[in-house]
Amino acid sequence: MKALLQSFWQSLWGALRPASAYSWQTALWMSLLAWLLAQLARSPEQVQSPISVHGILTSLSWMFLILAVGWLTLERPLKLLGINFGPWLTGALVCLFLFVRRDYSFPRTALVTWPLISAAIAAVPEFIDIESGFSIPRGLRVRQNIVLMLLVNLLLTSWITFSFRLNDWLLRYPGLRGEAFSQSFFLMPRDRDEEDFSRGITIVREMERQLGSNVSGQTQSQVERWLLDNQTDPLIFRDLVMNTLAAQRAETATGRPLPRPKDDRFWQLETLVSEPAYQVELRARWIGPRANEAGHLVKHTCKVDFGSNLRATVSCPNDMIVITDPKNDPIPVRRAPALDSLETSPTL
Amino acid sequence: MSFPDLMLPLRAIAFQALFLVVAVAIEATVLEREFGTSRPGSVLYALLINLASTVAGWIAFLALEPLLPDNWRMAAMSFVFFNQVFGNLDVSVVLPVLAFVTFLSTLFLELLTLGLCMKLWSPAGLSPQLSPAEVRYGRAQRYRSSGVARHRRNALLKANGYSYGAILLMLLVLQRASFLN
Repeated sequence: MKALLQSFWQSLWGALRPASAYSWQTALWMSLLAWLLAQLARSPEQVQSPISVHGILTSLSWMFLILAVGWLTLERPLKLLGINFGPWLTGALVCLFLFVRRDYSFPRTALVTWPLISAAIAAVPEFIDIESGFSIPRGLRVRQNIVLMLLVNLLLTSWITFSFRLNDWLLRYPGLRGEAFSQSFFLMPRDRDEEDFSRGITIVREMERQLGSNVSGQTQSQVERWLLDNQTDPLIFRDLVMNTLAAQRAETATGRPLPRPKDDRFWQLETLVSEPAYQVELRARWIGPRANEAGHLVKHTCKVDFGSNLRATVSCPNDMIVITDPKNDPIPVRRAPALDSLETSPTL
Repeated sequence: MSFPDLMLPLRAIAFQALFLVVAVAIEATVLEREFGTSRPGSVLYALLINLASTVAGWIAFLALEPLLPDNWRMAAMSFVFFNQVFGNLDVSVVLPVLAFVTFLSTLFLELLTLGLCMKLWSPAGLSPQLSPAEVRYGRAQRYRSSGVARHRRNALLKANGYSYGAILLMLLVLQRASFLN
């Protein structure tokens, strides 16, 4: 056991011992040293600004780490399928250092710029000349490879940016998530869960609340009047519901308020009334871009009763139901989504 | 920072990679025959020009998308998410026009890229080298180089025609195929 530990330690030290003053090991030890010093200089009361001693030492530690990794991968390329992935490792560290911090973080910027920064790092050694310091590479192959690498990485950046754009669309038009993507040439099909129908569920829940607050305690003729108004002017009712929801969102949003969804006009709100004595079916149907002719539909059946005092009471005993496709079985909604369920969506 | 369900356009990436391989294979063959370049050289040039035009297309789309009128964006979203048409855009007009514009701009971009490559390095063998005797006569050189430009343009037109045809065919088959659903 002792021999094993000893040999392990020896090989570790053999790998990490600086072979000369100018080596990646030196940079690694400098990074470690800077980090240790940064821990010593940390003061909990002080605001963690990048200009504090702690901040400067942390940045130094990062820079030495980047230098060490870059140097190491230059000396021993991380070859996989004939491609050296070392620059992408260094690039990832650079992006983390530049854009991902505890107090202000831009993971989106980090991801989008990762391929470009990596390409730049991969190209740097070709531009360095031992004698003159800087030189434009002369070899034909070298130039071709640099251009090719730049283009491939631009394509990667485009794909990453496009992914973010897709998710922005889904965030701005949350109703889209309730639709199936199985026909898409762009996305993999996925199973939808309640979270994906949350926009429609939230709308129906608000319709329900409006019904409760406008109808409870009213006489039969007042109730009939309200229901008739909703049927003749569904757009007014929709505006009321959507504006209330937007106001609630603004109130409940913690921290940075999210922009209001833009898919209001793609929801068709229906109030169906049937006997006996007022079964009120509240429906929100998605009529925006969709997979099938009939978009998905969230509905809830409520009952308006008139007790002995002839005043209305509203009750909605059954599950809310989601219908994704006339062919498919309706999906009952089991749990109440949090009001801010949309806040959990990707907001990089 | 959270990645709850970040949607990745994996199918789009796979299809684009596939179409790039097909286009490069076809165009490299045409370039090899037209210019007499070596096989690796033709593949490299085909790859360079196709990558450049693809990247330019992405940059144009990503930059213009926020400026699109709402119904155009809806049409784009409907196409991306559902492979469907949406709204009142007349597909029978928009699609051919879009395809034609894409084809022309691809051709233009590839010519541009090829020209830039020529500037960045002397492309051993891609254009007929001029002998010193020809260089001395300015007019002959100009005549010769305009001929080179025309030849280059026609070759790229041919190469793009074939590769676009092949990709269009693949798209039609995919559109008809039911394995995606």
